[in-house]
Amino acid sequence: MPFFQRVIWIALACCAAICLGAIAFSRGEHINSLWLVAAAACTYLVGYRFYGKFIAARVMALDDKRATPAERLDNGHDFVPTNKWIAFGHHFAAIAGPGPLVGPVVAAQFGYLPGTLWIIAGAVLGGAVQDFVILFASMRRDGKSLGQMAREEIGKVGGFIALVTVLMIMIVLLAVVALVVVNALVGSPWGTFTIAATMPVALFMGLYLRYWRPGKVLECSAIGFLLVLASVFGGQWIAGSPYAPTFTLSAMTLAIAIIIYGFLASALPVWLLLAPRDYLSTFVKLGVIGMLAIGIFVVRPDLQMPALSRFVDGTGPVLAGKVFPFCFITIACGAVSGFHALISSGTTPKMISRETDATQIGYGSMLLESFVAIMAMIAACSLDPGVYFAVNSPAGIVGKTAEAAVKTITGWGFPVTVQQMADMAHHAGEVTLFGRTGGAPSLALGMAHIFARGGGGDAVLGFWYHFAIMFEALFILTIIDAGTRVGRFMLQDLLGHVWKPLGRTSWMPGVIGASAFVVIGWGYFLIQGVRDPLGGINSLWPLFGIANQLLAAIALSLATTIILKMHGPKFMWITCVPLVWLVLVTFTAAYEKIWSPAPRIGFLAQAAQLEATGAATAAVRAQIFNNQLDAVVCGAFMLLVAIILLDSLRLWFGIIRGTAESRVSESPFVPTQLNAEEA
Amino acid sequence: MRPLVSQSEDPAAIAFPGATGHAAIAAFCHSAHDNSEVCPPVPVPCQVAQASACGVERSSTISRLKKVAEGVLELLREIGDENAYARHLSAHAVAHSPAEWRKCSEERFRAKYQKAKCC
Repeated sequence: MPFFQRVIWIALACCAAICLGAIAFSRGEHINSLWLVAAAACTYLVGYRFYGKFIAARVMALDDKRATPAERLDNGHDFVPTNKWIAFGHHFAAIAGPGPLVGPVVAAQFGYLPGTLWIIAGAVLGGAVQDFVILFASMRRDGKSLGQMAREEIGKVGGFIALVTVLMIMIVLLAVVALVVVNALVGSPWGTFTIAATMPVALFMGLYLRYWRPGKVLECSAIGFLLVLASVFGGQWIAGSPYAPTFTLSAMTLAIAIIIYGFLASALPVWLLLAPRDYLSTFVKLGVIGMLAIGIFVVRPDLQMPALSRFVDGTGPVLAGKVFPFCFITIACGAVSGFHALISSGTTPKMISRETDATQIGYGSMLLESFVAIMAMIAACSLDPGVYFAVNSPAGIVGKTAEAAVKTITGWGFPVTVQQMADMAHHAGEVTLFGRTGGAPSLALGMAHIFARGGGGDAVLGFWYHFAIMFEALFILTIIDAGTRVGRFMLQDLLGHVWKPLGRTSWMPGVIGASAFVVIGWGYFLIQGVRDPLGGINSLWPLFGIANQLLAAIALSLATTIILKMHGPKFMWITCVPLVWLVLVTFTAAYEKIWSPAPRIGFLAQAAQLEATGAATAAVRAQIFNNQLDAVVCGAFMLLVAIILLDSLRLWFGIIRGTAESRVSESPFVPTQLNAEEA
Repeated sequence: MRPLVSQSEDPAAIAFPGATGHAAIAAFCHSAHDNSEVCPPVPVPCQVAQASACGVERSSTISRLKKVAEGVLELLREIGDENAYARHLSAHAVAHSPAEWRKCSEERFRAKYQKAKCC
């Protein structure tokens, strides 16, 4: 490396160390958000240049002379050699969902420090490595899926368990994200109208694209964007009109509406609702993430939240449990997300034209996603902590009235007044902002403050707040719609082995039955979350975090197996270190969620506490059952992953001892023609 | 900082009598490729100093921005499946029609929505 470059990299590494030191050791005074931005950006650059490139060169031995599946199997549809920047953007758009936005907001209750360090370190050493290795493995195996690779490399048990785990995770995921939307819209006519209006807009777009201007996706999406923007303004008008009560819905009504929507949307033709909204939500998502980045650079807000809050001890109102392990399962996407392994072994490996592009696409995209999580952390922590806790704490913890809530929160050392909350709600165009759990409202509030400080002030706060809510709800509804459909396909696939007609995706009774089954599955958990007096996020988000991280454990087990087969134990540590950490975190969290004697943490303790009250009402009985069910689901996740881990360990010891086959099942080497053509 | 010489003893003004001030200095520096004390330490307006070099720089900046914009548009087209449709038309050697779009998008959606969307 030339001297000048070496100096630059040393300077960047020093800058990362200084910024990380500044955010880690700063106490008692507000620090500027740019410290977080600089710490993250410098660490990512150094991590990418040295760790990512090391893995690419030494472990994977990426070879540009080798033809990728995109070149060899080019069919003009899914296998297409694509420019690396386009593949990068495509992959990033696919992995960036609500997780990296909501998780850091919920974890901000511990203070900005634990979450920020986990996001940065977790992404560089764990998440990006997982995404990159799985992308590489899939690319060398003709774009095979995670399940297929697990079956081939680990064994049949691993493949089957990966499939079942994905189905279970999806049920929990859909319930959690639906709950986030419900909590964002409850009692908000402006928000509810805006989101409701996106449905006819999507239908209009579907018809426009199908019949009036076929193929004009960008044009159609631009019109759709203008219409949803109009719906945000329309929502403001509705909120002040006699129609406001029609759109002021309770949490239960909203939950039922979303369940019905999920069922209908998954049974409707894809082109009519899902596809046009998917296009629109992806464009809006990329645009808003870009806007937020610019907003943070322009406004440079100070972080109001302390580095470490008193809730690291496990008494947090947003989510019960100590900073270890709960901070690390609360932030999954943004640091390490098992779901990314599904994307890295899905569309992306079929688009890569040169092997070395995989570093930028696999490792680099995850770093960018991690940066999105840092921005969400900044948005949440730039809010006044009293406001943050007033918005995110359920009534069951802080009290049912505004006066009781501010008294409790001020008593924690985070002063807030009823007047302050009323003013903020007024500017945001809401009746109240108390008890809006789930992360989405506080993220929207943080984003709205950043955008409003960029120009317009309090006068435009309401618009930006509802714009942010619309942006979050838009792609969450797309996830619900697509997830229900995918769940239905997976279920039909499994049921087809029992009775063939059930497996046919064109047989209406099978389609309706499987859709209903999946919707009932996530709908049940959603209703449970809505009814939970401690706020459903307290029980469902950890369940989702555990499930997602356990999927990452499966992906890292597979990655370790592949590296072991390629090089022996020499480079195993690359995936083993994050794997060991994840197993430690998730198994501790799962154990605590099941067995902790603290009723707010342990499902069984909470069930026992409810039983001890002696109240035999249907609601209490349902709560007891729900807690027991959550404990069973949590235990099932642990069991499934423990089986995969044991299966992998057995194989690893066999390979190291020489008693198990260590042949990698890569596609044979074929020299590329692309470079020759370019030359 | 190097001091600017006075107008009366300015070699640039002597060498380029028609030009005055910055224009003369710029013309002198440009013609002589001179880095002596006469050449101004402060940036000279682009229009007069090294106009051709500035023009090249500006056009290269514009072309770079253009390239970025094209890249972004290309990405949006890829995400929006417009590129996939173009590939479909060329692969099957057919012209655009509503029926072709429906055929292409249906195939694409079938594959796309069999996979979960990321959290």
